[in-house]
Amino acid sequence: MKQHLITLAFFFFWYGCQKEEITIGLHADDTFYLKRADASMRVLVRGNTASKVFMVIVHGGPGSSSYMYQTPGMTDIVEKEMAVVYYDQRNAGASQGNTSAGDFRLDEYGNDLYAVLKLLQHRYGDDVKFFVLSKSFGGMVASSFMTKDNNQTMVKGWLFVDASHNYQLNDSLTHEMLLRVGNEHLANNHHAEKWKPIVEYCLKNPPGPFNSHQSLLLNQYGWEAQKIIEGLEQNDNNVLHDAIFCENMPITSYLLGRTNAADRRFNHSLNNIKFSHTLKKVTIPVLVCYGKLDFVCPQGLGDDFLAHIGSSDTHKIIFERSAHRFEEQEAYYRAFVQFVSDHL
Amino acid sequence: MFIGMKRIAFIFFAHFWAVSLFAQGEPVATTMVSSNLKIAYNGSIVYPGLRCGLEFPIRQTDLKAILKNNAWKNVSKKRYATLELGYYHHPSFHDNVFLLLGWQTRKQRPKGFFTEFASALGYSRTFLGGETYLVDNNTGNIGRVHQAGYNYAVLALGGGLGYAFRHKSALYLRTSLLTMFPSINIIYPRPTVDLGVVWQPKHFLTTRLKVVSKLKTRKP
Repeated sequence: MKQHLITLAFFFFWYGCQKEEITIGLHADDTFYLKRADASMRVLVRGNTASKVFMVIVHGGPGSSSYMYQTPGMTDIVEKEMAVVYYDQRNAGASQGNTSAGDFRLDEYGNDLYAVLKLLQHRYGDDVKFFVLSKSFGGMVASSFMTKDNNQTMVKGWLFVDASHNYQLNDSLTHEMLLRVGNEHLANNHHAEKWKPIVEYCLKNPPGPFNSHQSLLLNQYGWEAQKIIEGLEQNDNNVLHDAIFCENMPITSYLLGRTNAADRRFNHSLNNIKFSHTLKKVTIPVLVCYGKLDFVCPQGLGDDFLAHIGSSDTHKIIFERSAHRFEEQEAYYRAFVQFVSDHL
Repeated sequence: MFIGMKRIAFIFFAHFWAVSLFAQGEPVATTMVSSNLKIAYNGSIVYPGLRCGLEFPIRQTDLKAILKNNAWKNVSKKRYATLELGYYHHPSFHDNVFLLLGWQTRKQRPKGFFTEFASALGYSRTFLGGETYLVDNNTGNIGRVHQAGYNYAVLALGGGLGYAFRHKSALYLRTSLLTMFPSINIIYPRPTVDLGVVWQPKHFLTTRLKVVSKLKTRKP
């Protein structure tokens, strides 16, 4: 019995002392964790680490996951050219810990992003070049990071993709777009039964400062509208299925990250945070991408972002047949690669 | 943290106090019996693992009832205190080792088929599925954390079915839900499936078993 216990103890000691696995090559696939206070965040680095160029994805949500970005297109187009960093924010995806709800503050998310970049430098060298791709809620996280101290000097370029930096503006734009497009469809009798409740809600809740409950409902109606709108490019990727069965995504952790009470409380706290007037501090090159049919983060957010950003090197692309999910996958990914290669 | 530990201690106490109430029955006979050993493949659905443990028989109720068609129905209900050690491996997420102390009931039919229900409380230690680094944003210090992971209290509930063979062994299939807390998501639920064997070696951790016989007849 004693021998078995010693063997078991030796196993765990050996397990805990494994050598660092750092891949510098064309097909890296390194998973490691970043621990800050009581939260441990999963970081996955895939692709061409030999390029020394790292594109860090700041995913949406709050409480979504970087697993949602691990698509065949990302592998075939982007990971060939650079390393792509998929990291799960606290309370999302494969992140773990005992963190209490009080630690879910936007500035902590920004500090996590700073720590991710520091850790990547530690592992892959101080000479690596970073590009930050922020998507949806990730725009808030990245805005918090970029406008703090001199953080932006760590980054060569910022890809602001279907993202938000101002929730109140986001809600007003979603409201306006739902009402406008909804009325057009009702007039033409296209999916009238599905548009009717959306339009009715918008009429009952006129523009103004929306509270967090209204904000949540507008977001849900935005997703509904994207299911019935015509003209979207069809996308056959089943990212969730692939994540569960090919990428070992912890499904219960992912689902709870999206729905738990801490997440809802955090969502409420975001309602009055806006970065429009602090963006003038940011002077690094930016690429702004929006789907024309995006009701969740309408393209007007990109216009406001560009109107306030301090950078003189700005680029904007509107994808005509996309909404909020990179529907024109190849076009999005090629635009990312082009922007990065133009700003090395 | 201290308040959290007090809550956990209270739940443990309440659980075992409730369990001890079962001992208030009226035994007809007592007999010395061996305890059971069990070992199972414990898959967290698709992620492999192992679970092994002990079942200490506490009480057996042999129920004989007469049915509407005048046939006799025999059912044996057994109650066990259980101790289990489990493990599963979820690549790139975590490895989890857990120790459970529980209560199990098993209802066995004459032909050998049985159903069971198990509840348990315990402790879980996870080991993160990758190298882990602690980053201090203020100082810029970065250090590796060895054996990084988390401690959780666990509440496990499960049910299953099986077949008991003549030679004091049985095969069983059980699904369980491990609920770990406190977690970043408040709780972290984890479904598992066990496929395993139970056997009763001779003179192994012999315990006193209370055997109660009950007869149920129809009202006149």
